[in-house]
Amino acid sequence: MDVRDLIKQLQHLGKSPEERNPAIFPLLRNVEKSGELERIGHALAKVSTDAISGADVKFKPLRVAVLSNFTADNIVPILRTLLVSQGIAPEFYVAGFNQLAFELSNPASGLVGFEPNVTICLLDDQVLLPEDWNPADMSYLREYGMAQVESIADMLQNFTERQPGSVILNTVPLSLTEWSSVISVKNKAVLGRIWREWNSRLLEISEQLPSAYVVDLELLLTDHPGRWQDARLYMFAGIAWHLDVFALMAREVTRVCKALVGGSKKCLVLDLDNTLWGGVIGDDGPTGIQLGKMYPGKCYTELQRMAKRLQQQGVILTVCSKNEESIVLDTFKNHPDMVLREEDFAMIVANWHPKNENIRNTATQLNIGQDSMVFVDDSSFECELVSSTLPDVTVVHLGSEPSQYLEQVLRAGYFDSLVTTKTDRERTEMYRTQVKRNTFSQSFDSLEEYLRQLEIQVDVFTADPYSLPRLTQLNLRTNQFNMTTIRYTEAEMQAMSESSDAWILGFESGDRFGKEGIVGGMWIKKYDTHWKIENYIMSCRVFSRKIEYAVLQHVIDQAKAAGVLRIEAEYRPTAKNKVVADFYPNAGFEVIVQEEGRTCYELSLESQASLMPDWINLKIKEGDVTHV
Amino acid sequence: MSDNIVVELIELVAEILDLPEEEMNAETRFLSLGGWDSLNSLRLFSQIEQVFNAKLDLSQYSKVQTIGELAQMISLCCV
Repeated sequence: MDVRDLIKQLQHLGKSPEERNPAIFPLLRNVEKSGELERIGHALAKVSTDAISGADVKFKPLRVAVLSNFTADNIVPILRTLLVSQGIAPEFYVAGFNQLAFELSNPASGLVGFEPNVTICLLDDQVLLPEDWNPADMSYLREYGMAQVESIADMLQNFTERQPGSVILNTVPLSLTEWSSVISVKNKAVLGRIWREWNSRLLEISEQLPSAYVVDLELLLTDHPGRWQDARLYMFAGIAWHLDVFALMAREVTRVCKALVGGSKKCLVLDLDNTLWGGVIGDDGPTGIQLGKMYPGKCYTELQRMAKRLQQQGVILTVCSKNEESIVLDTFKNHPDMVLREEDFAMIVANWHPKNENIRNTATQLNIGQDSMVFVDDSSFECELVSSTLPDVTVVHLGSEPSQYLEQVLRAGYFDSLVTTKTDRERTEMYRTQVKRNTFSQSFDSLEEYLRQLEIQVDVFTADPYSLPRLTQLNLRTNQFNMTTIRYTEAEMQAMSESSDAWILGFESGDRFGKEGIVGGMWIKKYDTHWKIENYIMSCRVFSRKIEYAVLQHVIDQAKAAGVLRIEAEYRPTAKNKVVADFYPNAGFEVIVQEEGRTCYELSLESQASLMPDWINLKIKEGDVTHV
Repeated sequence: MSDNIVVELIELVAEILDLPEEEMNAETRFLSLGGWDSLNSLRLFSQIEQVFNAKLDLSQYSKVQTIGELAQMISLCCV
């Protein structure tokens, strides 16, 4: 289907609301040109996301507001196409021309009423430069621009304190026309420095406000082919950016949105021959493979460095290769030019089974969803096999030019996350332990006997500023054991943790094989007669140990001690959290409301039988929490 | 020479305005088309440059009245 056919199909669907065409959704990811993204986005606006996808795709709703000091409406259709292609169903609010300050500061503005999940503030150089500025008076210019940035920072701070969503803004490129109007070389350098100070301050907003994200547009434009401003459209309609730049920004915004709704990938599955090294090790031998400082070996070494850097930030690395295991392990251990070593991987699978089976098995062993995996291979046969049999796995086909590999793996930003935490740095070790634990469990007859031998320890604690980042992240990453999939922002969680009517409880776990760090949390609202569990999440790493029952029992005990009569809880089904559909009934809760999209439960605390498994030792952790 | 351009242009205009192509020909005046406004005019301007790989003069573009005139202009500007 070419773009024109695709748009015709969409326009047809827009007029026939009862029809569906699930073939459209997978095609949206292949659209690259800004003009095509824009045209498709206009047609998509009139079509419901359900009409373009199969029943298996569950779109996540997202309310997106666009504010700007220039005419920026062009970003909306482009962003719509990109978000929909990533399984997000956006609803847009576009503020009027140059209404940025008014919308952000006025508590009764249309923006505030819209209750956006994400507010995008697009800025161009006119927000920083006075209309008439005198190149002979650079110190005035510097103060003026800095005051403008400070006022934006203040407005954003007040706005994010008042309302819970996230904010995305950009660093501002300086128009070369403005720059050229300064004639002395010395003064051009001064202007350049002042300009970077302003952008530096804009970037700092990201550190200052927990729910603000700054896209470094000035830096991204270094790779942009062509002019970023079309003087004709700028002079005629105040459109400061070329359509390609709107698309560039929209792609970055999409990455942030994807991470916000919890769509980041977790695991990089790597082939070996002609991927992590050049050549075929079975034929060429460990000494014959290409690695090191010279082309083409350098390309593979750099790919290993990049994978290592991802691993250091919490991405799980695994190998899936058709090879003799012994020769592979020997190479990881002894080859002097290998950057990656055996301990950098959660699993190394080198055998002669079909790769789709191996990848399915890896997902099971690590207990992660196939949709959180990115498979990288140079062979079109293997890529085709995996993408046709495991449609949820993202497949990157490397092709034959190794110098392109780095970009092919990194550019789409599959693993982009909002923050990284200490747990990320230790994740590989945790997953390696898990694989060991699976092997250990095979030596016991009954599950309970195994669990007793595991010596499971659970430490519960009340969330504080040190543990909130990890709980926020866990809340975004967890899809299976996630009762309501309410995704709180860090700012909302901070407010909850400071309120006496709410309680955010976190828990760590560990066993004889090692510590898991913070693996779950519960969000509770306290009322006089009852408590309500707004959400309960737990990492899939610690499934099947009944830790969830132990923590729930702890909360029940606390509620009893507080004189509360009952606990309410809720379950909202999604495509991925079926595994916990029966959790509350199994824990003794009764259904009180059953409706489309949610079930509400209640547990009476009189004569409640303990849920605490005898193999779990639960302690309340105070003071010296090792924050991970 | 500009006949092919007329056909492609009609497709583009029809898509932007979400109108049937059959309602348009080279003589069609933009102002007679339902939904034609300055916003759609700018969208068409940007799309023409990408689709036809042409660089247009905005001041001339804003004086063009019919699809045929615009096709003529594009045929002279294609790079």
